[in-house]
Amino acid sequence: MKSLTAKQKNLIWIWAFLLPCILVLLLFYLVPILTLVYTSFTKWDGANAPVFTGLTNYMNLFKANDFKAAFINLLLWSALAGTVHVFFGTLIALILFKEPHGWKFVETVFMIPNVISMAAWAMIYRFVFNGSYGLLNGIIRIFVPGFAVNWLFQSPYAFWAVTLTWIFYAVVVTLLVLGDLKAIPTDLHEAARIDGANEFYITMKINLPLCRNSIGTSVICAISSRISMYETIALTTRGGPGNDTMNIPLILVNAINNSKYGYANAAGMVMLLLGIILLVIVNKAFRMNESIY
Amino acid sequence: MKKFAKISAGILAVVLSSLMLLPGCAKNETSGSAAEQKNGSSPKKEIVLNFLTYRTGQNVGAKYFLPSVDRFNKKYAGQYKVAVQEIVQDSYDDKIKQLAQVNKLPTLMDGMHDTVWLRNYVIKNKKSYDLKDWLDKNPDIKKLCIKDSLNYCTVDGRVVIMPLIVSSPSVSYYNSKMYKPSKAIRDMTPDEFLSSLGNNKIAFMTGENAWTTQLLYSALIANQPGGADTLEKHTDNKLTDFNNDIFINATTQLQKYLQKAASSNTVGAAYADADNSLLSKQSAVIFNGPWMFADFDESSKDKWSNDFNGTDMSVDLFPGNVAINNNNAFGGYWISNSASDEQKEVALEFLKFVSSSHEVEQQVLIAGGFAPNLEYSEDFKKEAKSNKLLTLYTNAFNKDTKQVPGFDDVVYPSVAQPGFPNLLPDLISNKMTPKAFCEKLTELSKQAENQ
Repeated sequence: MKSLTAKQKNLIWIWAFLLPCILVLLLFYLVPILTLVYTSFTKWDGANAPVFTGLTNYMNLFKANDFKAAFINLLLWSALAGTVHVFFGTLIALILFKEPHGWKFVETVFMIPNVISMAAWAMIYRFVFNGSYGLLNGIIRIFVPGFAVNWLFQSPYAFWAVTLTWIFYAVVVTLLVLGDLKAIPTDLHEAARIDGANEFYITMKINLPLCRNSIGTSVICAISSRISMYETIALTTRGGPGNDTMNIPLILVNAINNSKYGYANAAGMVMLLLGIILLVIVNKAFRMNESIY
Repeated sequence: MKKFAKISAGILAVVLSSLMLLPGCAKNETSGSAAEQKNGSSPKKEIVLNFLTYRTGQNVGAKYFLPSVDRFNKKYAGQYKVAVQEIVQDSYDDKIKQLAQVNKLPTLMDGMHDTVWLRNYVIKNKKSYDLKDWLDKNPDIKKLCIKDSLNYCTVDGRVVIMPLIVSSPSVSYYNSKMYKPSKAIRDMTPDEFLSSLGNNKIAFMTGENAWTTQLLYSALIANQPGGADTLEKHTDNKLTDFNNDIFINATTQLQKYLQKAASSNTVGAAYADADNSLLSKQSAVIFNGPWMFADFDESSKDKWSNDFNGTDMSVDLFPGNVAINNNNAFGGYWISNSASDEQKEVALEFLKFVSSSHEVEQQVLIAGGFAPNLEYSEDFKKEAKSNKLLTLYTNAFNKDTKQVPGFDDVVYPSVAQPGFPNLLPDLISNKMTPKAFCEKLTELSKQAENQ
């Protein structure tokens, strides 16, 4: 038998190592995604065979008032996530990078929410925002006796109450940016100082531009988390009052509860497409494919 | 060294690839052992039935169900055993649907709320075991089944779900030390009941499925001319039009109740909050099923505060002599048609056991309700007499009582929750008129229908 060449042997090894990953990708990602795409064009109760209905699910989805409300909410939340949320996480990273007195303690405290599940987090906020005995109203009542706002269940406060559950919880952003900051060669900072640059100038002209990729990644993470945000809303407002805090994952789950899997998967497809569009836009805006150094 | 690295890498790749195939192998292993049992290689072995149920832990059904399982296991020790597997009630329907999708339905299942799925999948595809012959062979059990329920559970001549034996209508509970009605609530009109409350509050809720609020809403609908018929007609064909006098008038009354008599924590309150409001005397009235008796028992004393005393509680129906109850539902046990004969044998024996007079009486004593076709034993009557709430509950019903399905039985699941609860805060704060509320309900229902 003819022996294999070194290149052929290499190829076999490459495929042997790739096989588990390819199988995982096929079984757990590609097949479900293809099922999602196909069934989004069908009427399907999840039990009997799907019946092809063309674009009906998408037409119904785009006509539905709760989808319109969810889309507007998503735009607002995305704008807040991509600006305020990322700005706050970056600011903390910049502060921690300077290693001021007590920075290790602050870093630890800031990371704590990361070990609390979203479900527990949502329950904590239910107590914080409770209209009768909530922490927030308790504090406000010290200054404004008789103050009565039911933050999670009253328009227009509910939207902002839900927003407050995540907007300052920017651990991922901080970790990503801090990692990039620590990778900046120290001689760049030294050279800038010799040239007379102050700390603000160094931050604006050296640190932030060199963290472009991590900030871009943070924007992607922050906005995609808003697209898929479910637990926080499901455990607090359930999309209410009215449609004030409605979002697409909630529409998807409601459709599943009605055994309308085709419609639910159309909502899932919209989420997937929004995620892809987000990736393309942020990649372009932050020039993430270009080398920084 | 290079050779060793190559061999190690090869082994690693093979192991990782094999791991991917393990789930498939595991399935074969299970069927293998099941086949072994079926072939009778160990015929004397105790047959274990794993029963996935929500009637465990803190669930209201656990108090009568778990002792019943213990009695069954004791009676059939060495022959049959029911092993309870716990799941929370809210996740039950989803779990069973997931198992159905992978063709792994458990042998025995509890009642489910999603009648649409049961009809479209389980019944249509004959996934449930036909209990007709079994009921015919056990006429004493068939006799106990509630007629409406037996009719509803019989589809194309097959008894697809075990019909109900015990009926558990939801009613009104009030703290008689706080609220002293001048006459029975059932003899009042909704407006009379509201004005009789004075400063007393009702433990309403807008969180979760707004259960206590939804019950009163159902009763208010039933009090409208044609309202009871409307509720009764739509347990299968869900309601999609609320733009009529029945619903607008009922919603107007509900708004009055919510604005004048709601406990302070109503907005956002989950069931636990409503329960706590009553048990801490923040509210004097709550609406719920007879399973709530357990909360007023001395054994639940740790939940009471502000001098609440369970013995002060009294029971009555809703104004207009209404109780909320739906016998047109698939609320009973059902058996998977694909289960092995051996597993079906235990499941049927268990059904027989829990449907026996003694077990039914125990259920009624602990969780309330009636078994309309059961001739109660003297022991039961003696014990029931000493149970004040059960006596009041039973006596509250008369021949004119209207028993109607609840609002959540006649609307699409997404309208019952989160649709209806999410609209309530705006109704309370007057941001939404009753007419607009009904329009919104119509919109949500049409949307659910067209999805």
